[in-house]
Amino acid sequence: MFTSSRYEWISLLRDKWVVALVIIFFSITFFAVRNGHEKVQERTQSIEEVKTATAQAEKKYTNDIDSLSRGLKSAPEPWLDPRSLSVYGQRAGRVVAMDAEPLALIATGQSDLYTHTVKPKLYGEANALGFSELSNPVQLMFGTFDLAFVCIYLLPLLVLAFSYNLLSADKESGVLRLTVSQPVSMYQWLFNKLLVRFVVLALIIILSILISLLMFGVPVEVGVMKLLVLVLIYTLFWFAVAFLINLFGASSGNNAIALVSVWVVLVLLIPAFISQSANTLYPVPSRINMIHQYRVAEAESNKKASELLDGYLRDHPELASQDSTQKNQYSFWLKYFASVEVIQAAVKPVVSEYDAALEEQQHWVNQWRVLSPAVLMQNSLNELAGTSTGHYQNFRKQVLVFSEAWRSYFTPRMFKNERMQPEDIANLPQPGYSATQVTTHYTTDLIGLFVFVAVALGGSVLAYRRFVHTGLVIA
Amino acid sequence: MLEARQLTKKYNDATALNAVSFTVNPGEIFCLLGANGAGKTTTINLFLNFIQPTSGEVLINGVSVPANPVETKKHLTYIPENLTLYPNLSGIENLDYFAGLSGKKYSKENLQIFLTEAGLQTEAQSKRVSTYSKGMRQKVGIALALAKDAKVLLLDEPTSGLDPKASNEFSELLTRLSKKGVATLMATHDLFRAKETGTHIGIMKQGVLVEQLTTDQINHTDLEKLYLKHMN
Repeated sequence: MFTSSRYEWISLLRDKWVVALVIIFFSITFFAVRNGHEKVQERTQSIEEVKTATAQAEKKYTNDIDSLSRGLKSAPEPWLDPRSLSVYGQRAGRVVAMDAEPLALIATGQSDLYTHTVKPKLYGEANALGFSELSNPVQLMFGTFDLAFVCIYLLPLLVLAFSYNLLSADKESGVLRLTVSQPVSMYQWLFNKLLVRFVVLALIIILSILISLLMFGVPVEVGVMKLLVLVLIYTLFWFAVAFLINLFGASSGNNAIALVSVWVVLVLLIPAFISQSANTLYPVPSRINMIHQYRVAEAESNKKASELLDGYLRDHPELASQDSTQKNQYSFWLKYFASVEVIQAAVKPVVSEYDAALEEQQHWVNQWRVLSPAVLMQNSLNELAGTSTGHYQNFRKQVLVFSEAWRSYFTPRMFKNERMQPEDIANLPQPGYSATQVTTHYTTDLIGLFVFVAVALGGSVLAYRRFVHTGLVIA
Repeated sequence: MLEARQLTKKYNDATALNAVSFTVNPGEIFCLLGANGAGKTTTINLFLNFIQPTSGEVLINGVSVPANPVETKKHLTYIPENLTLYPNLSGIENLDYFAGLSGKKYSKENLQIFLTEAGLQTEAQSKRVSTYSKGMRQKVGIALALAKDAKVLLLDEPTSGLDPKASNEFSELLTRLSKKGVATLMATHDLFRAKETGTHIGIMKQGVLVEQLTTDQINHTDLEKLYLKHMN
């Protein structure tokens, strides 16, 4: 078998196919990684800008508080005084930033749809509605020209172009008659041919991806290895499909049509179907409706703000001022907080409906992704890149947690009619975001891909028995 | 060496081959004559296991072909009417490739010796096969028979389309191989070559082997008369 592999390789080289393939694949890989790199740079830059601005504001407020408390500066208007908890809490908010993962450049994923920095404040709509400005969170497909697109959509086409006539070309030229008259199992012989091509393409893929990533400064770590394993198994799957179709013994033209059909179904139709059905079965409530309800509740509560505050204090007796003789400087805000609580309670059903729909969609997609190796790939690549829906949902959760912490630092102290002191700044809640909390599905996705490979190879054994044994390949 | 026993092949209702029996012993060249569609190629395809018999037995060296398709090909060389090789590889490389598929490994010098023995000019041997004529490609086929040390040769109209000189060279190669003890089964339309080269002749008509004789029993004129009698 070694001799035949060697000649398979020599034939490939003389065919100039390999050279063409190297050039094509390396160019598109490089271009895709470059695109991804640009996107990530934009993202990093915008995060940096926000962080810098926030840090400057923080510094300014810290200095001001310091100067004011030492009497070095005359006090500004109360609504501008940084020592006022309401001013500080609102204007000197901290940023929760979702920094790009090292592999973020491989898959744009959801990064087009979401913001990567949130600055929770003391009050405002943002606390309730936040940054949920998305219309279609299950927009799995049709992303930008990134590495994931190249691997999921274009790579299979290259594999198919490379192997659609593996058997049929020999049959059509007539050389197969001589091959079949040799004492060798046709299945083994064809598998061997396929393996040579797979190894050649695998080397091209590994080198193209590694070189492109290294050129854009991505360290070769576990993530890159995981990426390569995924891509290679996916490639193997498409070779196995080509192998299976070849064994049906049809002409090269028919093979090409059959293979492109398989590609359309697995890569375009099934993902579109999963995405569409998720939207149809678990529709996300309209954001306009959500805002509308919010505004209605807001108007309603403003009318009876004082009653609301009484109710609020009844619910939170610990916040009631001990010294009732002194007028609370934050009384306006306290009424506002009371009304916010009411508003939030009013909007809660819509918000949780929204959250529930998102979760259901996510669950649905997770469940049915096993129908297509393309969805399995997209899912795993997004997760490796840290741009999956799961990552953004998790970021949102972490932001809400911080937002809550920020407000609960200020609110009780406002009820106690306190002010910001220089030493308070060190005790403020610190924002943080960590991607490690996100559950990923790498292993299951990989197993899923292996199952697809096994199904294609199993099918090829059956096809071989049925077609080659009955002589249809020759006669 | 080659044996067909009551060999029958049916396609749905059509009978392509009906109870054909014959034997080709080592050193014999059995020529199958007959009109197109008489069942000559079907017979050869059955020996190659390209198709399976509906009934009857097909044996090479006493071993059933359908039951041992790989085993029975070890000592067999098949030269189809239009022998096609890999055009991107040279004659030597093609020979190395196909001999390799049979598990034989030779040095380049040995491969060249086989090709020369088969009559392929030295300067053509390392050229790509895309530049070869049909006769040259068939010589690679014969070289493969030599390299495989084939005991059985199956030929499907090997001389059709060859010029008289090439055809004559080919016949000489066959005679030389048969002297080495190779059993040859050849389907042909060339009555002259069949009488000159063959040791036995079988005439087929509509899937039936209607006549079997040895070539020394008959002269050219009588063979043609006999053939035409069956065809009309």
